[in-house]
Amino acid sequence: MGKYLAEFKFNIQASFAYRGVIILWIIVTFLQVAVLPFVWLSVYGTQDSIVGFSKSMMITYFVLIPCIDVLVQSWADFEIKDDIKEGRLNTFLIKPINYLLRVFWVENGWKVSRPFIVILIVLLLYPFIHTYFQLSLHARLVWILPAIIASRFLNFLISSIIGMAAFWTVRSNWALQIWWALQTLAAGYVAPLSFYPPNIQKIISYTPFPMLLQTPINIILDNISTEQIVRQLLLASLWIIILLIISNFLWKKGVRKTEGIGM
Amino acid sequence: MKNKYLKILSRTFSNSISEFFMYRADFFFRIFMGLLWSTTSLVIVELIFYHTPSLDGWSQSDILLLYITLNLAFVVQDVLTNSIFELSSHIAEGRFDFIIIKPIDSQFFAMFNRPDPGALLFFFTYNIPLIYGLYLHSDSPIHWLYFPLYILLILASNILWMLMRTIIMTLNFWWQRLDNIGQILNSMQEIGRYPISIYPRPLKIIFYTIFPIAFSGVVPAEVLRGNISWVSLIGMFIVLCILSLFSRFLWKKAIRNYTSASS
Repeated sequence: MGKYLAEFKFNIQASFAYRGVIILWIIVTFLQVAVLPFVWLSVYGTQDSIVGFSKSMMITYFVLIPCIDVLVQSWADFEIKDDIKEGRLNTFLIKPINYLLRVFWVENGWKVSRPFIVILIVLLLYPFIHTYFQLSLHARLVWILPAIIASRFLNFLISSIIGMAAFWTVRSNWALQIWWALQTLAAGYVAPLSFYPPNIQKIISYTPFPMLLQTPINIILDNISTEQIVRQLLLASLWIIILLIISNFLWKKGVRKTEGIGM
Repeated sequence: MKNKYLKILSRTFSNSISEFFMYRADFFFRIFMGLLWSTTSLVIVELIFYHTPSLDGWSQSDILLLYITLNLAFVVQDVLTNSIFELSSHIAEGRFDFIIIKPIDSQFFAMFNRPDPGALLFFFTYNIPLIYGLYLHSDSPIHWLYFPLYILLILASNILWMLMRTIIMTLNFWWQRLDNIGQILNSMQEIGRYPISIYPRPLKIIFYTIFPIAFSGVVPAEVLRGNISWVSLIGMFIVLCILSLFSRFLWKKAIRNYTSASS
């Protein structure tokens, strides 16, 4: 575990080293957060609530998206894809480390600096949204930590499986694009899932998508019952097991197939 | 002199076309990407209009027109100036030296040395379903009389974004590792997909000045909706002049400060 913690610490330092990247990240996130809350405020018009979501809840929902996303989102697909395509994977294969575990901890290291940036962005947006921003302390908040951990694992496992497509195809970008499109629509980035027609909601509820973003946000908003949280966590655990099996299978097959480009 | 630049442009373009046809998989990948993101956009618009008949006075067909307009505003620069995105790695790895020593304007060469004809394929496959959607939801009249002015504004928008893209990428000379700086442009494109009137006043000012996305989407689309605002047209001309001068000034300043990474 010590070697992974060393990677983790090193990447915390690396994440603070490039100030330009941090400034860029602030601007990009600010611009991203600035769009949809105002689109939906306009949709609400004079209505106070749509499908049980008040205006305040909706705006808080969109402010919480980058806060949760920064903790759970994974870009392992990029790292794995590039390592395979550029031959860097070979240098890790000969070391006594678990490559996927290393990628996981490198990413966690980069995540340490991000919450500070998100807080800064929320402060920047606050003057525009303060009338609608609404958070409260409630008993169900105890579920937030398990929900975030489950979401982090799910994001990482799906992302790493997509990255492994590079073992079999030079152009693995199609897998990334499908994943992004699905995530945009089904994880709740465009609107809370309750805004979708009921039959689509039902299909999505059996997939890992609600757990990726929507459930942790609903816990903070106190917009989900304890039974639903437990059901979501059990479903997420099942998906984690399935994805772990797929990930291990693909990794073993892929490593056997890799030719060591760049060595 | 002019001939030399046109000759280089036509030579780089024909090289890129040859390169594009070398990778047949890329051909199908672009078609797939276009259809995938077009479907995503249509689902987002459908979802918004599932809950409202109008978005701040814009109907579903108006929003689709806005989506298409914004895509048109980016297509020429996506095809011609794609190589500017390589500037970050050129500088970081010292390859910019090979650009600066050529007997040609370095800004021109950095912008146009590797066009991307495949972007046209993406453009068509992305927009055809949107145009079909526009045809299906034709609930607002399109003023074809103003079409020549619309085309003129689209051309101006392309120049505007070409300049914005260059200005943003030029920052790489001062800050290292801004690999994902192009994300700012993507985020701005996202903002421009909706009427600027839905945003609060301070953001509106930003979107007409610092990040002038309003001129690329809303202003040309308003023309086809029959709402010509001469103030906006003059504003666009002024912004275009300022950006031209600033882009050139910044580039020259960057070149003066440039130190090679390889020597």
